[in-house]
Parts: sequence; C-alpha cells; structure tokens
Amino acid sequence: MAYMTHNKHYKTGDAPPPPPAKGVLRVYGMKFCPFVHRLKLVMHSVGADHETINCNTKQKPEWFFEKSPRGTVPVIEQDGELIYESDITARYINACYGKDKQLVTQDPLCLAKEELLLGDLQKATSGFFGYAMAKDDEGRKKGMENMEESFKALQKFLLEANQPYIGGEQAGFNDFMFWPFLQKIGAFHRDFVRKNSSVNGYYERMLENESVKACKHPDKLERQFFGEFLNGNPNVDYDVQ
Amino acid sequence: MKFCPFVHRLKLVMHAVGVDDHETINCNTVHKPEWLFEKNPRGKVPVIERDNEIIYESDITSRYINSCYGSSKQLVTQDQLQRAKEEVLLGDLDKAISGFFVYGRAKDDEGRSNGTKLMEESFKSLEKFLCSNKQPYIGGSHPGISDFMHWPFVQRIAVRHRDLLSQNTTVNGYYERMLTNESVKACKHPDSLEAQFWVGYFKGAPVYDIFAEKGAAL
Repeated sequence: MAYMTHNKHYKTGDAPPPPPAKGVLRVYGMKFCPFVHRLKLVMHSVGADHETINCNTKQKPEWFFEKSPRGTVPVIEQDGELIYESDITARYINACYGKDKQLVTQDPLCLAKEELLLGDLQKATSGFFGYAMAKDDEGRKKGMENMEESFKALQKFLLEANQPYIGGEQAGFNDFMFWPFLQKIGAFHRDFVRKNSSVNGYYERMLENESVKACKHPDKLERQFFGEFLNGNPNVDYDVQ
Repeated sequence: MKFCPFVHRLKLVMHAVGVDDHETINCNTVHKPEWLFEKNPRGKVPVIERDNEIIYESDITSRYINSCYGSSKQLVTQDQLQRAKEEVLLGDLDKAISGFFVYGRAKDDEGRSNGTKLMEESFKSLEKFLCSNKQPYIGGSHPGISDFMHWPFVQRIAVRHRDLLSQNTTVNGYYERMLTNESVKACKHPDSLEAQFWVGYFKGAPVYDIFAEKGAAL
C-alpha cells in the first residue's frame, strides 16, 4: 500500500470525507509533515494497513478540529475512537501490531537512555526550522549550531553504545522518531551531514531501511515543498508531485 | 529538591512500586551546585544514579523505575487505546502546570487571570476524561502512573487555589480520593509547609530547608 503519496489535501471550506468504514484504521496527515512521517515509518515497519486523509495545515478544514482539538497531525481514527500526537499514535500502533517486531528496546535502562537522547535530538528539529525561517545570517548560524549540537549528541550515543542504530542492532522505534528530521536535514544540508562521520554513516544506513525507503520523498520534492512552506507562502502547493 | 513537583512524581511511583531502599540527595535549584551539571547536563531534578549510570527527567525516570520494580503493580494501563487516551490527557493537563506557575509569577491581575484560566482548562479536560471513562482515577479503578504524573500539580494547586478546585466537583472528588492513597500520603507535605515554600519561591527567594515536625518521604 502507499504510505506517503496521497496528494489531495483537504482545506478550509472543504466538506469532510465520510467516516472510515468499520474496523478501518485511518490516519489524518499531511504529505510532508515530519510528525506524520514518524507514524508512517512505524506503521510500515509493523505492517499496519490504513487509509490516509491529508490536510492542508496552513488552511485547515474546519472539521479537522473535531478530530484533533489541538489542530495538529497526525491523528488516528478507528471505529469512532480518536487519538493524536506522533509519539502517542506511533506507540499505540506498535503496541497493537508490532508484537513480533520488538521495535521498542526491552532493557529499561537502554530505553531510558534512548528517550533522553530523543530529548537532545529535538535540537535537530529546532535547528532545521530555525535555519529555514531565519531572516538573517545570525538566525541561520543559530540554526546550524542547534543542528550541530544534535549531531554531537547522536554521535556520542552511538559511539558509547557501540551499535549501528539508536535502537541497537536494527532500526527501532526511536530511530523512526528521529529519522524524519534527519531526512529533511539531509535533503537541505547534505554537506553538513557529511561533516560528522558517525551521523553520516548512520544516515546512509538508515537510507537502506525498507520502511525509510517506502516513506521517503525524493530530496528534490522535499526542497520544492518546504521552499515555499517555510517562506510563509500561504499558497503552498500541497499537491506537488 | 524537597518541594519539586517533578521529583514528587518520581517519589510517588517509587513508593507505589515499593522502592523504599533509595537514598536522596537534595539540591538547591536556584543556586545549583556545580557538580549537578555533571550528573545532568540539563541541570534539573530528578536524576537517578546507580553504579555510575545516570538518567534524568521525571517521566523517563518514573517509567524506568516502574519497569524495573513494578511488574506486579500494573501502574501502566494495559489496554493500548486507553493508555493512548491517558497520554493525550496528560498533554492537556500540562495547562495545570503552566497555569500554576503563570499565576504564581504574575505581576498583575491580567497575569493571574491567565494563570487561573489555564488551571480551569486543565480541570475541564480532567473532568471530561473521568466522566466519559466513568472511572475514579485516570488509570482506572485505582491510581496509576498517569495519576502520579499529574498529582503533584493538583496537590500544589489545592494549597494555593483551593476555591478553584472546589468549583469543579468532579476534580474535587478526584482530589479527595487521591488524598486517601498511601503513596500520596507518604509523599505529602503538610499544606502549611507547601504554602510556605511556594510563597518564598514566587518571591524569588525560596527557602529549601524548612521542615514539618513529622517527616515525609520527601
């Protein structure tokens, strides 16, 4: 099934889609949203079939706030039940469908350390968006510094744990939580990623992961969408292909 | 830190799963000892240290303790959808935290009004959750990890804003039920001590080394 290629985005004024059929898992998302991407990676990894309704996140359809009072994607709907937030929904999907996969690290101390790392890796997110929305060189410099700090944290973690992925010998849940942001940084700042050999090696390993491949946009498409999105252009073409 | 609500979260879970055997080193969180940053680069409490392994953050450390010691206690809701709904609720309940601090730090009526509004919104979320679940606690028929994550803030709001709490009968009922919980009782400061600390804290001059005549687990 397709994971990230649903081009229609419902926007303000659009009538809502009919509810999902009984038993069907539906995701409300946005084609390029890194938080939706997190959920999609986990869904692919555990084989959770679902349908997707994408929403324009700058001109949100009014009915969307009935699905998610916070007005954010992703949202899962199934048989009238609604949950949202990327980490909560991803954990839910993993718990329901991923028992054989062991995406979540079992050792409590290792898991705690992964969760701490994810906190440090938030600087990748703030750095990426800070850089892209910066009005001047100083803003871009701050963005770069944040991305660099996140890379240092990832490098330190991987070297100390002496393993190829955050989750251990294979890409795990927390690799998928981080990947969408690293993928975007890779699309926009590839040379910067190359400068840190640990992170570059990790980046290239993750590119070979089947779920990463199934959910990946070509770098050129990422740049095309985000070029407009981050400039505050209200007429962003969400349906760009 | 004796009065830190984030440390309190961890202490509640530790008591609930029976980790009596731990030592505590408290830190002044306004004038932090320099070495705290070697334990936690973020400079915050709580931190757990054992055999040179260090982890921090209230939710991460609480989950760790529950995983290691709490398998017979079932503090974490087993039904996955229900668990997800609790986690979504905890996000809404963050308004209790920001409301408490916004009010306390406010310089004028507008600031206090904003703080009150946030606390009230958090109460509405909790009321909606408890009423639609028809359960006495966030975690179900007895307090679970999510109740212990939220309790420290309800306890503090009750000390400084008791009338606000009383106005919402569902939340008030929840508050009074939680007061009967053994872990809540074991970790609770007398309201007068709590009040004394927070008055000092919000004036920018917290006094940490105050104590009640009967000691608590903190």
